[in-house]
Amino acid sequence: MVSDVAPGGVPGPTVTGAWHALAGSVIGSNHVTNGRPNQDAVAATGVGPVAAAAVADGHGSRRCPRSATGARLAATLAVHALRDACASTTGVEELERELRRASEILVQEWRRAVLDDAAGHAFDADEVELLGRSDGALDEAATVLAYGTTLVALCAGGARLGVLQIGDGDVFAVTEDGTSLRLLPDDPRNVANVTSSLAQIDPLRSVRLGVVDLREQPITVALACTDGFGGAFVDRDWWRQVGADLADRVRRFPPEEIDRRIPDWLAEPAEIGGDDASLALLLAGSDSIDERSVPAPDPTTAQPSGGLETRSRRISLSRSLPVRRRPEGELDGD
Amino acid sequence: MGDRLGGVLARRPLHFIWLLDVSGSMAADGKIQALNVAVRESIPHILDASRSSPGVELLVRVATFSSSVRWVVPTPTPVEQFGASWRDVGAEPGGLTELGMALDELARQMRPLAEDGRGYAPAIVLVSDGEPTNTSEPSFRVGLERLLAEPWGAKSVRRAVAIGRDANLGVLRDFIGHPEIAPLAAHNPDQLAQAIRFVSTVAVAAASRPTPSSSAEGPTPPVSVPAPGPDQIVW
Repeated sequence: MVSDVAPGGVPGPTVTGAWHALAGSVIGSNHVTNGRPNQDAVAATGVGPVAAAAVADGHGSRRCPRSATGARLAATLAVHALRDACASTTGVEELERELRRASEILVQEWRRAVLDDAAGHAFDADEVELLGRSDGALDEAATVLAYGTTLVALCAGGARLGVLQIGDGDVFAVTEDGTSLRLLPDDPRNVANVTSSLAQIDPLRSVRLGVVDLREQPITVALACTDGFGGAFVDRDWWRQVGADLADRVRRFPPEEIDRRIPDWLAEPAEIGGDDASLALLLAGSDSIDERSVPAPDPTTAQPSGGLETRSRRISLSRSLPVRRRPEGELDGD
Repeated sequence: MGDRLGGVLARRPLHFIWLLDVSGSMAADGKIQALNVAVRESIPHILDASRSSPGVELLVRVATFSSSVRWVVPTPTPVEQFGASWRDVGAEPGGLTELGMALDELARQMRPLAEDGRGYAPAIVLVSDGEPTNTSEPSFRVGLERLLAEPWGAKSVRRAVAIGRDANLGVLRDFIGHPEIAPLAAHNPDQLAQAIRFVSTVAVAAASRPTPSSSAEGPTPPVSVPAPGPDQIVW
């Protein structure tokens, strides 16, 4: 299932060698048993030279009865913000700056959107009870928390891959030979099913972001998922096997078939692990990193061979990506 | 089965730990017998609570503490098999209430959970009838600090039951570490059974819900406990 396809801004779907943004979500068995909705949400732009996709995991806490709505708003806003950030910039450094700015705007827009939603849809008695306010009086923080969600979003274009994450979930890229590469460091605060959140008082302190220069490190596919997917695997390094399997499928099947298979890939983790499971993919087209579409390289970072590299002329294949990371808390500006 | 990605899948573990006071004072007025009955009677209710989350593998352990700490069910045991593993515990004559030592042991048990890195926050239910003693290190304060210094200990869902009027409610409140959640007081066997059943099922439910780190899970709803009958013991 692909939902919330962001309209506009992306050249038509016939662009050759474009990125394909796909996403899907399957409700977890815990929620089916309890009659609760799927609280995850996904969004993807579809196909184009610039693409974005996102997954969001609405909190299951009883203080977050509207987290499914919060997740939907987060995923949709993130896809717009990241696609625009990628489309409006050319260099790696520039995208990094723009992602930082986009994360600040995203946090503000999400907060505004959930407060608007709350203003338009008053909490009913059941929700008020869940929120622990018998008098029905909710302050702004409690209202925002009712919509609490995580977010993992990806964008690609111009030989760059951008990543933005707040809260748990995973994001990694896969090279053509099936090697998986983590895109962001773990956040030690996200343990034991407790997570950072867009709804927390200082969400920018928990934002992690990064940009990969795809001229230095070509990839076949990038994956973002909620913890309902990764958490169902026994192996702590589950993402390596998933990446290898994914690279195999991407080699064998066109994007349309990959899209069709996403619900199958999610069904078993959602059933066995119990949590809603969602993933978003960015598939690199055959000439997504074509030299015609990328800016000139910075001579200080160019490889000895010089010039631009296409996917078939891989510069390097390292186990650690040249991701540009923001230190924790650095987004929390003046 | 259709196409699938990745390796082996499994339910996500939730470690549930009972920490039971078996100090000498528990031998008085049938408290230890009532505790054993209460634990046995709570098992089906905990099983029911776990069934509402089929993706959760609830694993139960039991430790007792008095002058020392002892694991009476040391292996994380699937709740479905726990009934067969449970053996009634006895009070230790003259035994003290070395709660700090017990929390220090719990802190050690949190480390493998962090290494595994998988599953839900552990749920810990403490049942005690007295004031912590401190004849051996660490003290209650230090033991609690060590538990909370472990990432999975800090995230654990902690609940407590106070047996009788001699229990130190302040200590139990500090153990819970939540401004809106108080220990449940039990002053007779029926209250103890109901309190243990309630806190155990609530702890399992709270631990299995994904929680934003900045949010409290919310206060425990008031539990109605039966008043003691005319012939009943009152602790």
